[in-house]
Amino acid sequence: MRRSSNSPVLTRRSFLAGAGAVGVAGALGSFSWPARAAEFIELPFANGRRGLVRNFPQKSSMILQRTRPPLLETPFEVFDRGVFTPNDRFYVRWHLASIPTTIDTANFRLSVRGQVRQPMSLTMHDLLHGFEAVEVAAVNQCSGNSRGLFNPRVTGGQWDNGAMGNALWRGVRLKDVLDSAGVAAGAVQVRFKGLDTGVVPQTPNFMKSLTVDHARDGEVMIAYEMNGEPLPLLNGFPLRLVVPGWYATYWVKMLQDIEVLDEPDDNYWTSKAYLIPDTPGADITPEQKNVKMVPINRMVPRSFFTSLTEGAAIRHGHTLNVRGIAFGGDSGVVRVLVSVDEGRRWQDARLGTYHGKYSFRQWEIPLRFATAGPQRLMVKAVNAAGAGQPDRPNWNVGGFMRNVIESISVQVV
Amino acid sequence: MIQGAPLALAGLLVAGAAQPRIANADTAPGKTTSPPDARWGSVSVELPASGTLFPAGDGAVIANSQCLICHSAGMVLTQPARTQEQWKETINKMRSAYGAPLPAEQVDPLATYLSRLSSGKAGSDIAQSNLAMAAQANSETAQGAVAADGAAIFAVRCAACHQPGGTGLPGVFPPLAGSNWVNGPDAAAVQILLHGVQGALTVNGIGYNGAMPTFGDQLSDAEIAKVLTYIRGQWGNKAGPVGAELVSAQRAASAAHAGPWNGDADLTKIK
Repeated sequence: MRRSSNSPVLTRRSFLAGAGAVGVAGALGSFSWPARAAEFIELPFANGRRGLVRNFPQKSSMILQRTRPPLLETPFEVFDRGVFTPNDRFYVRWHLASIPTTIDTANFRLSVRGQVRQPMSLTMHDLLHGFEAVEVAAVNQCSGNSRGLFNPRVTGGQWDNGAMGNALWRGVRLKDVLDSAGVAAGAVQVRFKGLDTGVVPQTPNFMKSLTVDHARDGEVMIAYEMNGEPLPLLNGFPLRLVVPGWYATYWVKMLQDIEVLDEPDDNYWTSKAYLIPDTPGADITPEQKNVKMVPINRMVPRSFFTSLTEGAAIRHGHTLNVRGIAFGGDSGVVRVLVSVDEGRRWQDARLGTYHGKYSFRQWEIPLRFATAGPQRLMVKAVNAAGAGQPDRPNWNVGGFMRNVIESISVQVV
Repeated sequence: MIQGAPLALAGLLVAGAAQPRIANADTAPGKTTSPPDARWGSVSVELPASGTLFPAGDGAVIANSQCLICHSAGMVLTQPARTQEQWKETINKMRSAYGAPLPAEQVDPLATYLSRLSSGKAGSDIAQSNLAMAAQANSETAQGAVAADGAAIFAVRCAACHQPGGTGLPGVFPPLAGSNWVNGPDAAAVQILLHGVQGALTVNGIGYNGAMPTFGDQLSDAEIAKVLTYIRGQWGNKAGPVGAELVSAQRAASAAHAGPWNGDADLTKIK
């Protein structure tokens, strides 16, 4: 249904029966916007008030960062409910505002062209039946997830920690598709483009590239299914590139064009956007100048508390199972460690079901505090390559790759 | 101390068992014309529009008429405090990297306006804008609607500026409802979509000075015909339908014209 006019929409107010940071505004109808209750949430940084909205297609309650093109964040409590993020709560991030809202898959074609022996134009039927179907559980995380927590603050989408999600992706290997077209000798990169375009024709199309070797590693996937369903349109229906272990900027949505290049891609989005300092942890000081910049790439380990929120009250003398999620970035998470003494000693948490090295993994640890008072809890993950999380936050001007050890303060009562 | 044996579990890509794995001869890549599986049938959705404007102040008109062409205000209004110099950098990036049609002389006043906004003075305005945004969003039900073609194109391409009800935004984006241009000669309406407009344009006696993007290279003749037919029959407009043939003819006739039409000066000549 479309909104029929710009006159105030007079409907029954929908109050949210939630508690905590969620409130209700506009109760007196004294504002100029439609007389309708707004649900909102306070993210933990200055100017952090955001609407909670339910009016995006195939999505339920999401944190509104921007309406057009949509930036929708997953409310963090969703991550406590399991390691797979439901499609209707999965975060959304688009760069360009002309997004097709009608996709007729009967006429949809994925083109494979450029430095290939046999250019192809693949139908959905070809992809569903012409190649071996494969699955991978993998975390999709925005390069700028948690940007709002940077200090000093940096510009960009002011996300809290919810610009990430984990799904079971099903589709075909990019390698199989490329091999079917036959990558020509001398090819160096493979470039991916979706159906979205800018509003003005001068805006560069959103395209990202991977090296031929990466594209043919057998893990990169053209996904047509997410958690057992076709992808929601806002997550890239009908096809999305899945690049396990790499930041989501490479996971091109509404994938419609694959171009094999014989020279490095110099398009804006690959060569000038999404650059990080070429330093450990993409970490520099705000004063540091003339730093060598490289395209963002592999993800780093992260871990979060999900069963407790900042300021929660817990009872002394009782054992409480505290749980959360972790992921290893570009390799599996092998340990999750929790500290209750400011990081002096760390205890191993018990890890939940293993869904593959690129997936979220749940962790749990029983904690018991003998006496009442404020208490800080910390958590960190270690991946199979031995990489951990830093005890000091990284900083860069793009607000990328935050993975500091997480901590929350609780009140033992 | 490492627990488990993660390296032994590296086989993460598993072959799907539920679906046929090997294509038969007539479903080999590139050869089939069979319809796609039902679960991947056509999808049609509607995306909500944002009615949020930049808060009043010197420069608000520039922000509203320029920034909102490509994106709604939400992310701008939630940026941390920034200096005028920092905003200039961002605005110039919008112009050089993303092709924003913002004239050079508007960079300084817009940067000044945005730096005042983000410096905290406007905190309550911004909070209100955010709430307005949420309220607006909640008031628009977008779930799974299947819209007619013209309406769908309107929702994606036009509604962000001209608003879902065709009312425009006062002083910023002209209305389509009751507009003398929408209800005027069909050729002029087609030319506005094909090439866009820049410069002074009078709509229903009120002067505007914004930028309308060109859609000639983004929409087909049939799409332009559909969206114009929709607009010319909505919100009390009673102008007749526009056919794709007219759009094709107009496109051919103006093929040599480069850049947007110069407002009233150019468009009043089209009959």
